[in-house]
Formats: sequence, structure tokens, C-alpha cells
Amino acid sequence: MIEAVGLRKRFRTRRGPVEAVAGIGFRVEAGEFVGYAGPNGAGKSTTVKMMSGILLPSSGRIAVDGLVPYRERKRLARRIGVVFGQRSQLWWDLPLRESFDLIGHLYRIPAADRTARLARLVEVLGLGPLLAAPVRSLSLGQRMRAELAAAVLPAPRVLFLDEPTIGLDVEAKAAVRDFLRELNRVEGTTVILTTHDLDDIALLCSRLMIIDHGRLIYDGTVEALRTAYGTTRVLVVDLADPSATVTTGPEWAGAQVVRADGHRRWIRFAREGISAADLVALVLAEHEVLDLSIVEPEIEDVIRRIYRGEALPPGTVPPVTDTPPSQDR
Amino acid sequence: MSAYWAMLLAGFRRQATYRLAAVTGLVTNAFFGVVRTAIFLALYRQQDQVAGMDLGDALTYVWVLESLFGVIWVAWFWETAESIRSGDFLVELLRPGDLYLRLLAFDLGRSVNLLAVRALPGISVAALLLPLRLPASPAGLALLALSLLLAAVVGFQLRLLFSLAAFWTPDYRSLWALLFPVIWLLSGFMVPIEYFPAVLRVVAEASPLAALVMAPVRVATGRSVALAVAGQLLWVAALWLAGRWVLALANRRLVVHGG
Amino acid sequence: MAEGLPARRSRTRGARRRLLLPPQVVQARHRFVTATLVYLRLAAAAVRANMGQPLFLAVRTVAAGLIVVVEVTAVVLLLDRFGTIGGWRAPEVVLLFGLAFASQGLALALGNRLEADHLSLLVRKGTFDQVLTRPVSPLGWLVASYVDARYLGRLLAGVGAVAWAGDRAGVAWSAGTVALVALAVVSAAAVVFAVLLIAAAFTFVSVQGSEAGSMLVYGGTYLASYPMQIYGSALRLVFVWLVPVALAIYVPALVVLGRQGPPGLPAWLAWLTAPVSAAFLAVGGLAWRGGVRRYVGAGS
Repeated sequence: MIEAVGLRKRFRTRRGPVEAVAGIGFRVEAGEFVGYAGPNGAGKSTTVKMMSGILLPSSGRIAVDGLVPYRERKRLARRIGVVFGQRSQLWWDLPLRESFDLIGHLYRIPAADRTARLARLVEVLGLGPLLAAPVRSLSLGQRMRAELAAAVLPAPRVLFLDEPTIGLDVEAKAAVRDFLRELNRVEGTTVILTTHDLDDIALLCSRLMIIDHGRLIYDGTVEALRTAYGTTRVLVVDLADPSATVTTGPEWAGAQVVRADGHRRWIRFAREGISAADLVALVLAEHEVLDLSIVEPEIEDVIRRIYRGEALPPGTVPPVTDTPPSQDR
Repeated sequence: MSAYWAMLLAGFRRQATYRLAAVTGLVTNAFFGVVRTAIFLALYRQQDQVAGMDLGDALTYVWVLESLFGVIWVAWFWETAESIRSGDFLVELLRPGDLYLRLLAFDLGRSVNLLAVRALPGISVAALLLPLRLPASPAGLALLALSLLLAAVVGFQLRLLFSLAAFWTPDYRSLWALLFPVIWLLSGFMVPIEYFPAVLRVVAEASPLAALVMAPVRVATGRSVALAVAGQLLWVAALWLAGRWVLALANRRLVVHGG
Repeated sequence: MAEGLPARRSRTRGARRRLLLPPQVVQARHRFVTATLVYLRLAAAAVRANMGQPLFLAVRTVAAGLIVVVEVTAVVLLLDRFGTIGGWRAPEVVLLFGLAFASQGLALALGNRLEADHLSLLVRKGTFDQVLTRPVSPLGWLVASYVDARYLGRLLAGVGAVAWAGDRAGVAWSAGTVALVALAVVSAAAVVFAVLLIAAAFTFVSVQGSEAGSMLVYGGTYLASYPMQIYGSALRLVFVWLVPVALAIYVPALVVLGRQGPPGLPAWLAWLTAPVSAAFLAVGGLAWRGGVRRYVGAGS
């Protein structure tokens, strides 16, 4: 469905040329739900813009649903849906229903299809009471549900979401996530979800691409990531003596104190090296402990560690595919 | 086709939501109309005819001007430019269909609403109370309506061309601040173009600005009607081409250089 | 005698006596002085901010002046064709225009944020709420923080137009006539400012803002730019006595030009310019206070 090879984008800024995207390549098959994560300024939005055709790559190849985005933007526009977290594609002062009507007209959705589809979307996303309200009066959560409905109404093959859950409360986030999950499962829509929210990734994506400084540093399944890093856990102990130092020795099998704050110590250890029970015994032997708990690895921690530059397990970094820059324009 | 018609209706309905603004707009137009009427009444006590216009012509000028006021100098003047600057315009680019036509249709819808709600009452009441020179036949009135619509279209096209400057310079408002007084004068929003000294008059009549006020006034007062309407149509076509070309340029700039 | 009291001079020293001010007055005076200093500081910051973009400022100031030039040109073009209006020749009408523009410029330099679209933006963004939590009067803050130097261009051009027109009209500039012009500009500016205040008070009530205020500001000054005798009695009544912008512009102009006004608008009314404008300004102040109180009471 989506194929990118050696994609690059160079910007000319006041501080000199900046390479926002520095040669990334990937393949996304139809029906995948891909999470696209990375720290701020990593190049996520730039990649999405190139995929939707509103930004010209400096070099490299990209194809979405068989079309070259920047060359056939209007044609592609009919097959994709885009939701920007901060920008609205709805008409601000008109009642919500009219926005849907207009989209129906713009995308030339036959009236019968549109009515049926809209009815279902309205029901699933709970937009019924909002249809008569002007868009500007909707809360952020309500607006986001409306934006999703609008983007999905023309039944796009690919849905690009740029930070859709930003600023939403817990309930709204859950509603959005449920909707996206169903959409991908039932209609087979390919979804590219750009997000900062690591919960989104954990709960929705089967595949994760991580971009940093314009390069793809991880492209694989979420499970693989969890397994690779998931072997580590953290033992959190509250010591009676805040000034005590926990010294590790050879029998600690590589467990190390990764953080200390007042009474609390965080000790990371590997499952294969030492069992939780043994580690606890070692700590209790040398210190008076007020309280302890064991923290399982979350995908958020994993990704945070990757952001911080910790080395990835071998075999998870995709080779950087490259075509020599230039002739593609 | 139906997409653009839908946009036009949407524009109409959007403008219709501003009910209070419609009333205050109508009152404002009426107020300035009354003041200007008093001015011309006082002026024409000295002379019967000036530059080929008599009192009736002048008063017609005043009330056609007031009709077009909110339509050319629209309240939403900076909307497009602002959305370009803020990046929201991106969303428009992602939509299928013809962007220029879509923007025109929406704007025209709003203008039609304004003309109906503000222009029509004002000019009708004025026609009852003052010796205005308006077409008597239904054909003439239809032509006047057409001329007003064409003026609205030219207004949109000029505004769009100017707004697209926002793609290249973030401080488009300063540029506008300098151009505005001259445009205001040359388009005949202060005094009828007919009163201009020869050189200035030629410049004004040759510019697209003449299609904004001068042409509808001519159609109303029945002086060189055909020429006036033809001129408007010509400018609509010329500005159409220019507008689409600049829009394509702006598009290309956005796509190459990013938001 | 208690300590701290100022020494009393003996009566033999003459009629002078040190005044003993009650502590409340001293406190009030102190508060007034500090508040004024705060506003001056805010204004200085605003002016500095304006100065920080000299090119922008220059362009906008020139543009403001350009508008005045173009409007005056239009008037001259008009009167060139017609000769006179209401018996007044072109330079005399341009004098009125100059006064109108100058007062507009002064009023808007201070009160531009009171205009409907600006104020409603401030309210919507929550900035106004922030202002209310500060220990300054919201009006003072609005005026001082947004001193907009661009409108000074309008003020200067207006004054320039008055000077130019006065020469052409044969006005003999003396301390008296100059003072009268200054009085006219300040009084008319006060009236315009008061209109802005009243309109702003309405902005708090209506979601879409009150554009009637803008109508009175620009319409009123436009109307007052022409000699009042051309208008019917209704318009005259409204703009001389109700929204006294014409009282502030036309009547002093009569005196400066050495003319007699029409019946009902004699030149000696110039004595009333200052008090009537001040009274109207007070009305504006009350309206503003009422508006803010309502806003605070109603929530956002």
C-alpha cells in the first residue's frame, strides 16, 4: 500500500540547511496499523506530509496506493483521509451536519452511501446530539470524534492520523482508540498513526516505526520490542536509611541501581540473570527495607529508553535504504 | 458541479449565522448613506451637473456604493491570508476538487447573502425616498443584479490575489496598509471616478478597480451599460487566469518548501 | 506638640500656612501616583515594543498619513468641481477633516483595544481575565499596554492638514487659535474615546461584539468633517449634543475660521466644548465600569 525508498527532505532555514528526513525506507501492506513515534522534531510530520502529497521530497521514492503523492495529489486525496490533531478540516461556523454534507459533495460520495455511512459513524462515535451544533462550539474531544468521522466518511484506503489524541481526556481517548481499532479490523483501512502518546501505540499498533533525527531507528512489531527489552524489570525499594548506598556485587547478576531519590531506589535486573525473589533477598540481607514493589516493563519505558539513545537489541534496526540523492526530481 | 453549488450554499448559510452583524452592518450602511446623501445634496445646490452626473446620478452612486461596501470590503478580509500564515490552509490543499473554484463559490455564497440582507433593503428604501436613477425594466434590474454579482466576484479575485501574498511575505498587512489608501481612492469608494482629473480617471477606468463600483453605478444609472458589464466580464476572466496561476505558484512553493 | 506634625508657621509670617492633610488623602494621592507610574511604565514598554520593529512602525505610520492625504485629496477634488459646500470653501472643509483625523488618531492611539474585534479577541483568549486578576484597573492596562504608535501617524497628518488648511484659508495663527485647535482635538478625542468605552461595555454583553461603536467612531468623525449646516436637524442634534463630536470639531473651527455658525450653532458654544466633552467622557467611564462589573458578575 505504501512504499518509501531512501526518502529525504532538506529544508533551508535561517540556521542553514536542515535535513528533517534523512533517508528512510519502509513498506506498509494494506490493512496494517502502524504506529509512528519519535521525539519532537524527529521528522514525523514531515514524513506524513510527504506521504499525503503536500510536501515534495528532496530525493527518494514514495508511492501510496500505487500513486506518487506529490504528482497526483488530487487523485490521491480521494483515497486517503488525513486527521491533523491541531488543524481542523471542518467548517468552523456551520453546524456539524453541514460539514458532513459538504464532504460528501467534495468527495462525490453517492447520496445513498453517504447517508448510510454517516448514520453508522454518527452512532459509533456518538455524534448524534452534536450534529446541529456549530463546530466552533464543540469541545476538543467532540471535535476530534467529528474529525475522524469526516476523514473516514469517504471510505479512504489509508488513514493518516497526526496526533489525534493530543489534549483529550481519558474518556475521549478511549472512544477514539476503540473507533480506530474497529475501523482497521472491520474495514481493513490501513492506518498510520503518528503519535506522542505511547499508550496509543501500546493499545492499537501491531507495528511500530520509530524515527529520530530524521532516521528510522526501529521498524518492527511492538511485541518484538517488548520481548527485546521486556526481559528487564525494576525492583523499587524504600529504604529506612535514605543515605544508604546499595552496592551490587557479582551475585547480583548485572542488576543495577538506575535511580535514587530520597528513600527510594530503583534496581533494574534481567529475568535470566536473577529471579525477583533472590534479588529481594539480597537487598533485605544488607538493608532495612520499609516497602518494595516490582514494576513490569511497559512499552513506554522501552521507547523512552530508545529516545534516550540506549542501544537497541541487535536485529531490530532496519538497514538504511538509500538511493543516491538527486536525479529523482 | 454539485460540490461547488454546495459550497456556495454553505457560504450563504455561514453568512446567515451572523444575524446581529447583519443588522449592525445594515445600520452602518444606512448611516453612511444618509451622511453622504446630505453631502451631495449640499454640493449639488451649487451646480446642476458635474462631469456628466446630476444629483440623481450622484445619489444613485452613494447608495450603490453603500450596497457594495460590505461585499467588497468584507469582514472576513484576512481569513484566507491568516489561514495561510497559520498553516491551516494545508487542509484545503488536501481536499479533492478545484481549490480556486471552491474558494470562489464559498465567497460568492457569502456575498449573495450580504447583498440580499444589506444591499437590497438599503437601496430599496433609498429609492423610495430619494430621486435615484435605477433601471425601470425587469431586464434592467436583472442586469444590475448581475453587475453587483460580478463586482463581488472581482472583489473576491482581487482579495485572493492579495491574500496569496501571505505565502511569500509574513507581513502582508503592512504591504496592504500602503496600498489600501490608493486602491480605496481609485476604485471610486470616496468620490465617483467621473470626478477625477483626466489622467487619474484614465488610470482608474483601465484598472480592475473600475469593475468594483464604477461599473455597477453605470449599469444602475443607465450610462454605457453594455461597456460596463463587458468590462466586468473581461476583468473576471483576466483575474481568473491570474488568480489560478498565482495559486499554482503558491501551491508549488508550499509543497517544495514546507509549511 | 506631637512628633511628625509639620511646624506651624506663626501668623506673623503672612497668610501662608502649611496644610495639614488628613492621612486618607495622603494615601489616596500616593496610590494615584504609583498607579500612574505603573501605567506610564506599561506605556513605555508598549512604545518600546513598537520601536523594536522600526521598519514596521515606519511603514504603518506612513500608511496612516497616506490615508489622510488621500482623503484630503478626495475632498479637494470634490470641491474643485463644485466650488463650495454649505458656503464653505475647500481649505475650510480640509480644516475640519484635519481636526477629525487628528482626534481619531489620538483616541485610537490610546483606545484601539477597546474596539469590538480586538476586545472580543482578548476576552476569548482569556487575556482579559488575566488582566482582571492584576492590581491595576483593566482600562488603564488596556490603554497603557497597547499604546499604538501607528495612530500617531494619523494624529500628525491631521495636525498637518489643519496647518496646511489654515494657511490656505487665511487663518491668523495666534496662541489663542492654536490653543483652540488643541482643545478641539483633545475634546473630540475624548468624545471618540468615550464612544469606544460605551461600545466596549456592549461588547461584554453581545458575543459578536458591538460594531455600532465603530460606526459611531468612524461615521461620527466622517460626519463632523463636513460643515454641520449641510445636515438636517436630527443629525445635528445627535452629533452636537448627544455624541458631541461635532461640538468639539465644528464649533472651535468656527472660531478659528472667524465664521458665524448657522442658527442653533453659534460660535460662542465653543466655551461649552470642554465641559460637554468631559461630561460625555464621564458617561463613557461609567458605562465601562458597568460593563466590567457585569462581565465579572456573569463569568465568562
